[in-house]
This record gives sequence, C-alpha cells and structure tokens, in this order.
Amino acid sequence: MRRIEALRILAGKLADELVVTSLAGVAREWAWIADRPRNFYLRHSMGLASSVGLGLALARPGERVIVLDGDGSVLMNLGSLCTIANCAPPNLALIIFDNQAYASTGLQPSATAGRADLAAICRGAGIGEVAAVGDPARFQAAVEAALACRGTAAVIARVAAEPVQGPKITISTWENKHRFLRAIGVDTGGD
Amino acid sequence: MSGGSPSAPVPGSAPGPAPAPAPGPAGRPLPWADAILDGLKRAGIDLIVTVPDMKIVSLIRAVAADGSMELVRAAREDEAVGIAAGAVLGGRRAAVLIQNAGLLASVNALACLDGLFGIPLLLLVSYRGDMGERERSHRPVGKATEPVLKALGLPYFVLRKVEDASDAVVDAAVVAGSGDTAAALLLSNALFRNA
Repeated sequence: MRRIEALRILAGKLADELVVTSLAGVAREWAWIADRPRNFYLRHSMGLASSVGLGLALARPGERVIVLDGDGSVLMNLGSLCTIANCAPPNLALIIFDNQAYASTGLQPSATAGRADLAAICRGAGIGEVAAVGDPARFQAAVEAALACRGTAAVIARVAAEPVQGPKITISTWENKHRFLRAIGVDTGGD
Repeated sequence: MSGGSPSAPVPGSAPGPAPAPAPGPAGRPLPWADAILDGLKRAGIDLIVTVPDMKIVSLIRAVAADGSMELVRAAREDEAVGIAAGAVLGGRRAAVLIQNAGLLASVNALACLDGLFGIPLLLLVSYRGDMGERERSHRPVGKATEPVLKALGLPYFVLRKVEDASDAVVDAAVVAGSGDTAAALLLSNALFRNA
C-alpha cells in the first residue's frame, strides 16, 4: 500500500475531526490532498505529534483528534505511547504510517526494518485498540473502527518506502496556528 | 499496562541521597507549594503536565490533592511540552512542572514547537545546581540553565522567596499569554529552604 493511497482513503472518511500531522512526508502528502483549517502540521519537532494530539484530545473532549505519524517519529518518543495509554482519552486515534525508513532523508532503515514491531509496542504501552494493516481494504476498515472507537485507538499502516509525494507546504506556521485556532474557536489570549 | 503502577519511578526524577522536602504536617503542602498553587489558580491554569523531581514533590502533591487542575504525568519533559502545547491549542491554560535537567532535554520542543508556532506556556522548573545546591552532580545542569533560557529568548524569573511566588506565577503566565511564548519560573533552593 502507498501512503498517499491510504491518506486518500482517510480523507474520504473525515468530517470535522482535528488532525495533527508529524513532519516531512506525511505532513506534505496530507496537506496536498486534504488541506483544511482543522489540520495542524508539525514542521520540525519530530516525535511530538502524538504528544500534541494527546494535549488536544484532553482539551477538546467533544471532538475527535487524529494524529498522523511515521515510524521514525514514533520511535523518537515511545514514552508518549505509555502516557497516552494511561491518560486513555476516548477521542484520540493514532495512525502510524510505517515505511520502515527515514524516507525524507534518503530511505535509511528505521528500527522497524529490523526487529521492532510498532503494533506490539503500542499494545505493550497499554493502548487498547491496536490494528496492524497493510492493504487498502483493511486500512479502511481499521480507520472506520478507530473513528468509531470509544477508547484510544492505534492503526499501524505498513506502507511502501518511496519519495515524498506532493509540493512543499506553503502555509506559514503562524498562519497554520491561527487558522486552526479560528476553526475551533480558541483564543489563546495573545495579540 | 502490565507490570506498571502509578507509583513506579519515572525517568527524569532525581536520584541520589539528597533528602526530599518533607510534606507538611498531615500531608499539607509546604507553604511555597501552597503559594505557587495559589498563583496557578489566579493565572487560570487548568492543566499541569509533570515529570517529577524531588524538590517539587510537594507541589505535585498539592496540585493532585487540590483537584481543580487536570494533572498529566508524562514520561519525558519534551513530551510534557508537547502535551501542554497541544492543550493550549485546544483552549486550555497549561503549565509544565519539571526539573531543569528536563528543561535542557526539552530544548528542541521549546524552540521548534512552542517557539516556532508561538504557543503561550508556563514552565515551572526546579533549579537544581543553583546557590545552595548540595549535590555536585546537579552543577553542570545548573550552570547551563539560565544561558539556555537566554539563548532560547524565553522570559524567566528566578524565584527564591515564598512571598514572591504567587505573583511571579501570575506575571509569568501574563507574559506567556501576551507574548505567545513559553515563560519560565526557576524554583531555586532558597525557595524550598525558606518554606
């Protein structure tokens, strides 16, 4: 399965969910096919997408938060999976695209190309609903289940390692933040 | 989580022989912790993300016992910054309660998440290695703490007196909000000693 293909399936399933993306490929491809005010693209802080997603999920209990992450990013912040499992927000879904590589820097292998198993790690962290899928039909079913889930869900989607699709993100970080805050009606108190 | 328990040691807590500040009589928070809790309430803080340190145990307990703020226990301090930043984006008023070693571990999160997007955040940081530190092992982090905050361009205040505590929390929250920035209060040994 190609990641862009999976993202198109996901885009067809979303309504007003809040989406936090990791950096690099997943952010660019999601911005390319599904740019929307309720997207927040992390641009540099690798590994923190799931943490930001947890904070959002705790702050917005009436809305569903989806984190689009990658294997390299998740491997940088494995403790976050444990924190998320213990907080257990019922409105948080982690979708982790595992291409077993650091694709944006030239496809160096990540630990999941070796012995690491992100689904087992998620289960071990205590996340209750974990699915590992590798084809579009199963991905679609797993996403539907995650979106309907009343607990924290994780979908590990095995995807091909390939160069990033789509153009660079052009929205500035400042504009991205304010567009996001306006979309959900938040005033952080700043100027 | 199999084999885990809420009381298990968390990475980032300080090892070593230094005595933890004792909780007050009958579990009451120490006066400095009470004063900071008062400031947090006046500042409207409603969510605290923490990785424990011996020096701030009394404050963590005070927040937990008070019950008016949501308390999230993170595994690592840059993760705590990420959680708090996400909560602020969702409309909460969040503070991070950590040791200064964890502040140094959070530099990228502070620069490239909090700083890049301009997210107001209150950092309450135990200032290990500052004046009065008895443990040699904390000195390297102590020496680097203020230079790193300056390099990040973050407003900060070294809190040494209990009578300053409540207002300092409010002032730091105000500058964080008006400046779309993280702002730090360094909780120094004198504060704990004078408690």
